[in-house]
Amino acid sequence: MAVFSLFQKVSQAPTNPQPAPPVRTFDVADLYRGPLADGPAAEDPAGAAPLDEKLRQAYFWIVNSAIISPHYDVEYNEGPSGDFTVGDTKSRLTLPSAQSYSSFVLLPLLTFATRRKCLFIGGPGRGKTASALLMGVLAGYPVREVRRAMQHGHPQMTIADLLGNPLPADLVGAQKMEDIRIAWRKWLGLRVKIIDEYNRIPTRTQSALLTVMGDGYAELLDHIFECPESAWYLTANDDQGGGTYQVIEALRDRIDVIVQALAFNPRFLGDLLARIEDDLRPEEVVPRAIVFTEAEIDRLQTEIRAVAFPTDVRRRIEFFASQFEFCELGGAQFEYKTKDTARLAGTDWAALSAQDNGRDRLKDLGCQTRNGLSVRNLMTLLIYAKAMAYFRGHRTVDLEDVRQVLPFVLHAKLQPDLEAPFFDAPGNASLRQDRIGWLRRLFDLACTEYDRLDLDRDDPAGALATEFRRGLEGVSEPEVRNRLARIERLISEWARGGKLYGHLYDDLLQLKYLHQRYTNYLRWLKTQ
Amino acid sequence: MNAAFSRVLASARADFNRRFVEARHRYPELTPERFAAVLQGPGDAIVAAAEQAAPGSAGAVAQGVYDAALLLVGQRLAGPDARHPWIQAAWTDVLPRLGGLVAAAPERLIAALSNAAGQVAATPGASPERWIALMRDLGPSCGSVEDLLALGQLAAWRSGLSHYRAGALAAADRLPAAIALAVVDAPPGSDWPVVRTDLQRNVWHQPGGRHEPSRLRVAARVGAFRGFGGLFSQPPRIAVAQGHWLVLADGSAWHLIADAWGATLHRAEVPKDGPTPLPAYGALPDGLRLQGGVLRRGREELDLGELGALTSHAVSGDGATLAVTGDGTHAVVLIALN
Repeated sequence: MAVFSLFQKVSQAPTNPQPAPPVRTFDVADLYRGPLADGPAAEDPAGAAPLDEKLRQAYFWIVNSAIISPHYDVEYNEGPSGDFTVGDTKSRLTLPSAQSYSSFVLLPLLTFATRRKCLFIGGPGRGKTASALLMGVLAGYPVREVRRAMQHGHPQMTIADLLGNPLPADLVGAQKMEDIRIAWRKWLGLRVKIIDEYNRIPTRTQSALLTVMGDGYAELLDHIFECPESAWYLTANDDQGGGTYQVIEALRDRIDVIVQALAFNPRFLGDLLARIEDDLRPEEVVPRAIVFTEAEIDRLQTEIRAVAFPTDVRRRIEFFASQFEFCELGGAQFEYKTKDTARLAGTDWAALSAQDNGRDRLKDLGCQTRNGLSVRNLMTLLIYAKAMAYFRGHRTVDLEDVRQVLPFVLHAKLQPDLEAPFFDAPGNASLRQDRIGWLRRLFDLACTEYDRLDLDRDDPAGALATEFRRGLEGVSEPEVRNRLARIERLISEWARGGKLYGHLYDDLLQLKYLHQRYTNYLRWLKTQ
Repeated sequence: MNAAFSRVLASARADFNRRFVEARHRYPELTPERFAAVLQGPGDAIVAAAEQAAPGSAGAVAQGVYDAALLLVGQRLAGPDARHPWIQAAWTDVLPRLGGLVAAAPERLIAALSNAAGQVAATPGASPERWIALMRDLGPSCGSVEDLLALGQLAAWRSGLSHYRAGALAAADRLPAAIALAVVDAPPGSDWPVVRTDLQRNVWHQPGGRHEPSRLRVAARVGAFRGFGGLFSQPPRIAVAQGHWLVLADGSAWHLIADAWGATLHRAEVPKDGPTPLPAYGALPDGLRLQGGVLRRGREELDLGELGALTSHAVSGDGATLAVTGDGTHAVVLIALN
């Protein structure tokens, strides 16, 4: 029996070192720390590590020992990065100046930590299923159990295949439904659930899956199985409807993030060969040091939720999100001027957007999409941004955390209008295919516009909302009238400005809300 | 190779071979020749010494030696073309002399002494040679693994790792007094509690040194020009943060710790709001005057002309040392005040 295994070795903490404090304390016991672990007690170096450190050690073990050619597409910089333009189309290659990450490993790991739902997409044989399997092992399940619990989508998959069967003897002898016992499938009770090729599952079975995914329970013959809170991993060779069955929209909407398995770089073929020759299977040698207990995952969730979200970062998300739902011709009444109104009415999108000629369609970010963002999308974005900050060892989200996770969260949520003038602009053609690149650009453009409008310093609607949030207790009648007048004045001012954009539309709706709340309060004051 | 080691290797040949393959997967520079050189040389001597001291221990010791050798040779920390000779020296000169202790805790001791040798070797200005010599000469006198590890800590401080001063003094208290006194070069017949009190009281005290009356003197010069292997590309300045020295240069900061046996610099965050280095001719402790590049205390004088124009100064928290910088040197000059 080996005293240790190199494949069991996890990265030494701290995996994301921060600048040392001005004054450090030194422990003479550190003299004996170094490349060699000092005996069995140190075999589990992550044992006492904080959970964010353990999460990073899990990440680095996967990218260093399990994945052969990681792509560092989640880029962070400290100071200037190395930028190069390559080829006739001036492709940009960036060498990040800070610790950067591979989305294919990072996003599934954040999904694991937050117990959300992640979809792997990409061609066959790119490691989607293997990565999902690793996540099951990280949750403490034996490899064999994770393999057996994995659900493989296929065209004949029935609800019974997915959820379980009534016991045959009960089915014959039972006088009433509750007498029928159900043999529930074991995977329903696991904390990591893997559905392989979910787009090959028949539509009816997808509906049963939706109940398990969305509501956390399975139902069969009036019997209910309550599933534990779990991280979900689904795989699909194609997320654009190319599977055997069209995935029902509600099921797609339950997926929190989508990551693409990028191509294998043949430069790493030597490593692949060594792995074959050495007969090494990473999922079978996951170090105990990076396996999480149920209590640890619970604690991860609590600690991630506690990560602070600064107001200025939140405001950028508000501004970004407000760009997309507004559709001036979508409805007559102000509140109904949305893309969703048009969609519900079955309006032809091309015809509708052709009528919209009042604004600069290149500049208006809302013109790039056919829909807006749902509450679920925004909640997911907030939780993944917190998880990202937590993973990096921070206790406050910064703008770059949002920028990095946003494309993976909104991948299938924000539908691009590929006929929009933006995609015809020079250099933007490739963004028609590259959803991640497009979403990141979209967020950057929103931030640029936010800066141009100087909304961090000059946000009159925000100021009125802040004032309102301080409460109405003790606010006098003259003061309420004053505030109402200020709201009306601001609306008149904006009305004179001419063009209506998404963020302005949302601000106007907010002003209407404030106006209504003050009006009601004023009415109440008069009765006192 | 001794018979016990050969027997262990032969008994689990397949497992040992698999471990070598795993290690080579991670460390492509791990070659059979370089690995064999360590295994058949110091590795063999360690196993033989342990087996001789504690018959039957060869199996566990061989496992520890084998795995440690894989990692060390793989990272070029031991073997014929190692990056430095000191870990190999610990394997050659120290571990084979500690047969009984190695047999008692093979993995722990092999790892601890290898890591410590590497750390002393990696500390600029420290003397790995001295550390190896102290461990070689005094290690066999230790009666337990814990004593040996305490000796290693005290010896590391004595060899220049000044930042371990407090912990090393505490470790020395756990050692037999004779060993502790030998490490700090105390004269024969010294009493450890007395020596310890002196060491604790005065960072510049050397038990084996000549006892002179207190006088101004340059006790140490710390740091050098980056081009000559130092840390600074421009002359540094000295400041105090939370009662400790902070050396500032090129927009970076280092925490400086110094005493009679060494001085170490540790990377630190540059404080956002200060600390501001005090001008060289600013307020000095009572009785000290700095005039025209000469430090005066009563009738004592110390010429600091070698520093060029003085740029900053700071007094240590215990008042025992004045640190001075100048534009003519990339070193911080430490002046003992007592």
